[in-house]
Amino acid sequence: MKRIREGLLKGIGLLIFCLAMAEAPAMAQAAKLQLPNLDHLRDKATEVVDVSLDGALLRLASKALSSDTSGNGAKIQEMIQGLQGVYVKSYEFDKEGQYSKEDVEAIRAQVMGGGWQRVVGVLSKHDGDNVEVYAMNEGNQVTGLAIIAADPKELTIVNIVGPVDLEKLVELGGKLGIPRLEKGKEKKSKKE
Amino acid sequence: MNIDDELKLALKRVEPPSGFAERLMLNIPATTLSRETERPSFWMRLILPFKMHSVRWAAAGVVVFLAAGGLMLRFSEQRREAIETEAAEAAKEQLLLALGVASEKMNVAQRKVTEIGSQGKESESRGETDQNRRAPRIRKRQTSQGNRAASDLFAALHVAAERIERIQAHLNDQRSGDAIYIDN
Repeated sequence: MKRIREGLLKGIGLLIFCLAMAEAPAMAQAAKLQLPNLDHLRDKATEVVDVSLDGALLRLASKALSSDTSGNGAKIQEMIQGLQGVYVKSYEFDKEGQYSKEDVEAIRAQVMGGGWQRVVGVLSKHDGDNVEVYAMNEGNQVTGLAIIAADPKELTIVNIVGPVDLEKLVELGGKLGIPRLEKGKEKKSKKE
Repeated sequence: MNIDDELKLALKRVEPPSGFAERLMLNIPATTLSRETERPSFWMRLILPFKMHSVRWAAAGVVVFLAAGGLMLRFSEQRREAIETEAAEAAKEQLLLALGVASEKMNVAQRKVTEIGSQGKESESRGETDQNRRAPRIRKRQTSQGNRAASDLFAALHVAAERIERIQAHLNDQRSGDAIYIDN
């Protein structure tokens, strides 16, 4: 009887351990947005940035950063440590109204709930710079970030999966070898 | 006989018995004779250095095979490393681009929030200034409103006093037997 009870307790303990271990990736997976197929915007866009880096590619990038002798590599490496994915889709157009409201709503619907919280929402009628920043929190730590920037001539969606330091991310612009992209002066790669 | 004579006698050249050479040649095998006597051809002389035992050939083959395999492995390893480095560099570039875009958008949001915040402060301070500018007018308006209220109050008090006087008059008349009538 005693042996059965011990076995049962061990089993329950193991189950709890497995559930706890499975929870962390599950939370991280929840932070991954299902980015809609925006291929129809490719032809209309003048500049396209489509970056999709999963865990394996991030580790590879981290390896390349470790050989960066400029000293900035280590800082970026530290920042991306623990990240499970970085996904960016950015389309810049020469005319207004090239993307539809549905394109944005498909993403916005995913961040309306499900653990996401809107950190910043800027709706500027003056210059049309509309930026929404959503974060997924776990305790005091941000475990996911989503940025929806819907300007009249530009649509940008950013999804970072994993622990993100927002302050460090803001500081990255123009530092650490990352060019600060200024509006109208953006140099983006058109990925085919 | 001294030793020198003995040595000379012992080492004296002695002719072989007749037919010795023929008998000897008969005892030597024919193949040995032909091998020794035949001069190898030009081609045989060329191949001769490579003519080895089969085990040696096998050993040499294994060595060559291992060397070639090692070289191929090293080559493929180098190639794999080169591809991996190239992929890592590409991933790094993509990462920097992605972080650049993310950082830019975060900066836009932060700038907008800061702008809105500063505009709010400005409007607040502007509101205070306007209020100060409008204060005399407001005070004047307030004064006139106060005066009007006061005058209304005085009027009401005046009416009330008149009524009280009339009630007292009626009461006096009642004592004298008249009916009481209070009008509005």
